[in-house]
Amino acid sequence: MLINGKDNGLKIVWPNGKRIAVMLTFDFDADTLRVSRAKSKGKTIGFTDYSRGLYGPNEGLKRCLEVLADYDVKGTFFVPGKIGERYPDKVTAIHRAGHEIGYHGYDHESERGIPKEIERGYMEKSERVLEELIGKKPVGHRAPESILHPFSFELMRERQYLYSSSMKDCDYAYIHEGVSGQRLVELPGDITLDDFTYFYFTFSDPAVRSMYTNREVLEIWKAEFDGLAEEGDKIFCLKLHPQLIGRGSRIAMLGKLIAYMKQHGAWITTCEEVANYVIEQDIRGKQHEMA
Amino acid sequence: MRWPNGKRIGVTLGFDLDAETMWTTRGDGNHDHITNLSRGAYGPKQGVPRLLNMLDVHGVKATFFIPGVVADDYPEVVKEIARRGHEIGYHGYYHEESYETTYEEEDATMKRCEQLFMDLTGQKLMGHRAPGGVIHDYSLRLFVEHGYIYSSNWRDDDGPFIHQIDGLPVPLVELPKDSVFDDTAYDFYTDSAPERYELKSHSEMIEIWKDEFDALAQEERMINFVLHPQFIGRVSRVNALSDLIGYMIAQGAWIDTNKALAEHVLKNQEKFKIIEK
Repeated sequence: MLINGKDNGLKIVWPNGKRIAVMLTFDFDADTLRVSRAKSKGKTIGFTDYSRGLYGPNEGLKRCLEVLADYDVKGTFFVPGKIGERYPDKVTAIHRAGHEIGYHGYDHESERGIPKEIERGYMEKSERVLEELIGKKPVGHRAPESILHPFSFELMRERQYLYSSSMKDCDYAYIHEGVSGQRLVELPGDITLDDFTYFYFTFSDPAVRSMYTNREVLEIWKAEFDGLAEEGDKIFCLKLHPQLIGRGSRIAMLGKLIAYMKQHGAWITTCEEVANYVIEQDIRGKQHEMA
Repeated sequence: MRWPNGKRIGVTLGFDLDAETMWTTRGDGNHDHITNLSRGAYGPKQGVPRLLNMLDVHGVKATFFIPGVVADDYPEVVKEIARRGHEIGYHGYYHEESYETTYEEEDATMKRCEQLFMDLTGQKLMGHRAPGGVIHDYSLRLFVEHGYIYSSNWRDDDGPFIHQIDGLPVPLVELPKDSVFDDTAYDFYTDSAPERYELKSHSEMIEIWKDEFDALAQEERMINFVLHPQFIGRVSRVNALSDLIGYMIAQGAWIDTNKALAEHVLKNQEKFKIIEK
């Protein structure tokens, strides 16, 4: 694998002269975000935080779908199985609008040190729920609270996943080295490109206690986009939550960002489409050449 | 004038290439936290090549403080840093931060790292920046015994100054630093215990540094930056740092390695303070 201090990326060339692959991803976790976070922090759930989670399905999701439709772009929604059971109409609406649905735990489980069988059980259960709703199994994996286990990539391969989107080790897509022949793409992200970093405000535990203006967040995201687009072989994987980004003013800011990116050479599409393209480009061959 | 060639201020860009040790040495919970460790890997994998390219654009040399284990894990990255003309400084083997470390243990760790970097790059380590800022009562003596010419640890002065032991000056320059010049004060966010929130934007970080620079340049002092490739290596921050470097050069900064600044101070001792710590 390429880690030599010289190469800044894998020199992938995006289709149709585009400068960067942009993925607008939404972790549609509703109240399960707070439930699992409270557990991992050893805190109580708290009514206000629980209720705010429901802002996602009640208000935020609709605005997210509208802004994607307004700018005619497709996104990727990572949906816990439990949310699929509770909001089947919303999940099928996401799918019918042409967006991708990916795996995000059953109950947004973020417990560490669990055995493989337990994790496999969460995956089986959620895949079944999502398949019943949209007619196909998810091909993408986003770990709840970014908790991956030592066996996670092995399980993804075993269950025929195409990509993982949880790592934070670079700004380019790559293929995980593994024993089996199956190719598992990584689409990395960063806390800088996560609305949670700026908008998860709570009094219940030591989390963000400062509000950010949309102007500040847009400035950071634009600077990241501009720099990565200039490098030419990068991805911009924006991680959003309908309960946070779904406020009216923030959706308006997201709309501005989407318009800006479209005008400046972004290929905005689903994670699945980017992962398939990465495999077609034989990135693994390039990884070995440069190693 | 204290600085060479009529320059107004000495500036060192010190990069702490901690990689995964940033995470394994803070809190117990990160040894098996795969995505947090991947944030550490961002330093050598993505941050370093991007930063080396930017430094080449400006033709400035920097100092990379590298734990020995990072050189063992990423030897090609460390060789490339040296090949591009940058200095390597001591930063522990495992980024050890213990106050219990004995003189003998620290002596052995320093020898181990000195040999490792000599074998890998041909460079002799000449300076010390303590992991986690942990200094011992024997540290200064140890630096002198190892032939180091600078320490980058004290925070009580805008520097530089020459150390004194038992009433006598020693050939050891302090290049002081402070949290205000440490990028982690702005760009290190984590939701994992011990949590750090309130990420600042690149423009806020640079605004603070620029203000400090302007004031210190008037006093002919110095700035010793503490930068972490895994955080400042993101493209928005590298571009902002590049803007700042361009500004500092235009405003009369002498930007060079910690070693070069220390050598200048030792050759011009009459212009600098001598202090007993």
